[in-house]
Amino acid sequence: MKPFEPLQGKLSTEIIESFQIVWDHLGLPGSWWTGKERIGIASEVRQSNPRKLWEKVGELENYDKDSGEILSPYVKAVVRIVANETSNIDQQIYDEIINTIGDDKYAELAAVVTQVVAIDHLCDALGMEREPLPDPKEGDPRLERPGGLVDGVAFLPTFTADNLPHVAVSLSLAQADNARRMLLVRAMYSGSSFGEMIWEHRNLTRPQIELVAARTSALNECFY
Amino acid sequence: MLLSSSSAAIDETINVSDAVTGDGSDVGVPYSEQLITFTEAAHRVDDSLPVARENLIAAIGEKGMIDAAITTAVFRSLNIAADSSGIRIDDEWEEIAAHLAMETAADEFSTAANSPNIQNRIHSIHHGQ
Repeated sequence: MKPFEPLQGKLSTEIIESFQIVWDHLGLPGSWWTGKERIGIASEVRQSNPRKLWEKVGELENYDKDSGEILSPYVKAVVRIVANETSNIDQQIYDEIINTIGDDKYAELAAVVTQVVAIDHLCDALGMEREPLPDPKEGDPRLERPGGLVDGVAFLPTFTADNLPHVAVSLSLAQADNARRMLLVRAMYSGSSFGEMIWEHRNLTRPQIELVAARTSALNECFY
Repeated sequence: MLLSSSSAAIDETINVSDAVTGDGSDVGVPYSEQLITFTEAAHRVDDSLPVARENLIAAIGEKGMIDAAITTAVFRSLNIAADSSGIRIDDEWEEIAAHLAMETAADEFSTAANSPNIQNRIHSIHHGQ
């Protein structure tokens, strides 16, 4: 059975195929993390979700930056901040992370987190079992950094937004993972109708969709 | 922002403050109370979620509940992308974002610091500039 087949009949083919594309790449070497490390990031997201109210990462400087594990305690703490305490990330925390692991690794880490969260959170909300993570594949990261990046849109350097919302290019430093993240967004949110105020491709009306979106963003204390 | 615009497109008037912080009884969107209760429960993933899910299905059907679940999942992901990268509000949305922030107190979120132009606009609005 292919991943996510139990969701057939509940979700559109476009959504299931976008999940399968994410799963096909999750355990492969990325631009800056190995396959094992990427699955380690995904596992840390899972182990920390749903977050217990009393669980706080605290000061990053208190975590070991080296270990014999696939991911260091420091990187695991960064994963948990990105996944569960995102609104606490300010310029100071960002600088601390970048000075330790670099912006390329941080962007890819965050992009992996966004993909796993979108899929796992949907399973949680529907009361369905989460899909087992794929097996990691051997190989080295490609060490690719895209050209044409600009400052001024985000803490991270990004592609120019042109006519896209800033969120579309937010993690474009991790070009391939950002593209897969946006594939999920297209399948799960806007389709090809982002600019249209009346939607025909969803079961809820667009105001109902935006109501859920606005409340979710408020719960996550996301000003954007 | 898109809640206001999409509601206006179908001649609905909505209460943004209730949508963001209230119980949903005064939003002006059909079944908003059940949608908000479900969204809150899905955010927590706690014991209230199965009941919220069933109540939403009773109100709008299973396909509607699934659509709400899809939306809360993808927006949690979008929120992480926005705030882990530190993006600022897009230039063309600054004016309406300033007004909505004043209406909903969203400018009190720490992530508002990523969009300093909004704070400047709010200051200007307060001082009639």
